[in-house]
Amino acid sequence: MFLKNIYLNNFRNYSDQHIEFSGKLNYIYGSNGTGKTNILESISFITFGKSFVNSPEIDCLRFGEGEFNVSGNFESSLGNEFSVSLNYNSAVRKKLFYLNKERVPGFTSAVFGKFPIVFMTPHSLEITYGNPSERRRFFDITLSQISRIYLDYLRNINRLLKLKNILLKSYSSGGKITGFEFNNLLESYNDKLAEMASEITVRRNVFVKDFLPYLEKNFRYLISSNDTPFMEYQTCLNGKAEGIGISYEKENLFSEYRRKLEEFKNEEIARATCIIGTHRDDYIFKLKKQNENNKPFLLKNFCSQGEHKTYLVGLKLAEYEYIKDRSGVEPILLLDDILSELDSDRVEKIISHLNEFGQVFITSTESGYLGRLKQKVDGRDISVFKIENSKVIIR
Amino acid sequence: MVNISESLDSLIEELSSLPQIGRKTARRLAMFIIKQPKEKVEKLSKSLIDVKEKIKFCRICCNITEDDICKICSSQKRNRNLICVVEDPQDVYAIEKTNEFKGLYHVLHGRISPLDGIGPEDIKIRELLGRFDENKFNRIEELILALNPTVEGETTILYLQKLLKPLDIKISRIARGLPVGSDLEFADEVTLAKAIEGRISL
Ligand SMILES: [Zn+2]
Repeated sequence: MFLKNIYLNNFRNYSDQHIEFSGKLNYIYGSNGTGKTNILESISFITFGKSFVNSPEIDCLRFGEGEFNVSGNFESSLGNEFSVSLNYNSAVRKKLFYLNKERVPGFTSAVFGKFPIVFMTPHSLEITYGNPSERRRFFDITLSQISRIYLDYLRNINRLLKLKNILLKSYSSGGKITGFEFNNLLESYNDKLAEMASEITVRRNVFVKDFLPYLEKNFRYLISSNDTPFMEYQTCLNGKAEGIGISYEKENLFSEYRRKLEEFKNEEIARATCIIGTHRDDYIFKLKKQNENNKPFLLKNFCSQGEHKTYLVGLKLAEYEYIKDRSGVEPILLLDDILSELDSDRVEKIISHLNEFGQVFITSTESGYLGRLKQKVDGRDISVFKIENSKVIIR
Repeated sequence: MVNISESLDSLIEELSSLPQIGRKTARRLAMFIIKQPKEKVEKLSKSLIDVKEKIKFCRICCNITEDDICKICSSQKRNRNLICVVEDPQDVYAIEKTNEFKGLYHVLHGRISPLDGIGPEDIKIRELLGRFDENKFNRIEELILALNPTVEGETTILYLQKLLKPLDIKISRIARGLPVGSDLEFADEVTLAKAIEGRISL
């Protein structure tokens, strides 16, 4: 699957821009602030449904305009063509999606996951450094693109947590609800929460087991030592203490969650917020160092910047391979301004890996990497674009 | 800002208080109304008054009706021991169209959703409980909860289930089918997974 071309209308700094892409490697360069990222962002809108850097749509609107359009044509490995378009109108604050020119009721059900993407941006460094929400987001994006059931549960539990939070807040601020009604409703929410949380936990736990071999393999590709990465899934059920295992059977999980919700009920009421649920999960990254007798070190606290970056690249390569295996579709790889964040060894490894990928988009402030890219990839497979004055110039 | 017309402002104000109508849409509707011939506007305003004067909630099932008690509740052909609970009057019409259900209805007029400021007391739950008074009504043997399969609908079902538990009656819920307007492929995957979980008995 690859993106043949894209058309941008009033999207960010582009008033009217058509671009034909290479099915293999696309190299986009220009000085900072010229709008390189915007092109990758527009790709994320028609594949992923939203901005890969999480910008609200209104921010993507060209100054002084009322709506923007992004449309792209994809071609599958069998030669079938698909077109996806997005229209955003700021007056109604609504996104309309079209698949093959026909309006689809929801992006999630009609398009999401059809054209999987894997992206790496400078912000991706937060996956290993940042707080748990960064890791949850990373793996949620991976899992959602291969499982709509997971995505469905995720959206529903987020909605439920929102409902429960509002209930707790309105009760603590003396809302009109009676104590009896409040208690009955809270119990209902907790029942549903336990059900949905166990569905999500079961899937996250299986995912971590499935994903680990991919991480090990790709990590090994990046390093010369025999250090091995290791990751653990942490929920509010097993807590921070190590070695406290729980059974991840679905039936067991439901009663565990229900018990935990009961245990924390008063605290949740007192603090007027949801404490128990999958919204506090974390994935713990560890590194077993060969020269330290394979002792596992917590990546977050005990590892060097270099090890962090290797870990990140390993995670992203693993994500790519995992999605490719599970969905049977080669994801589109978006590397936004990341090469300059990595050192030459890791950049070299990524570049050497390029022939393993399907379509790739790389942005950079410089054209410097091009020489090395051309040594690895057939020149006919590379399209080079320079961005100048909000125009895309083919080089 | 210069105040062009107080009457126009007040119309926009009223229109924008309607659900789903924002300020901009209200303004557009108001401008549309201004451009209409007088007879047309009179017809519109009369039908607004008519609907308010004639339409009321059925004293039993809370469905909208022009009578005190709706046609379904007053029909002798319906099974009075069976009640199907729905969110909106539209749901009654949808189920009636299937010609499959012969019991009575209860219209909640919404579902519990703190996000929209709707608590248990804002929908017709008290009226539903009132229907279990055997001095006034036939004994209810079975309740079918036919709420929408959204998070709000599902949790309202749980809420009702807890509330009705002491009454010790048979409660069931409609099977989850294909959501209207959703992608077949998607619905299939999700409904399949839910179906595999087995039938839901409450
Ligand atoms: Zn009635």
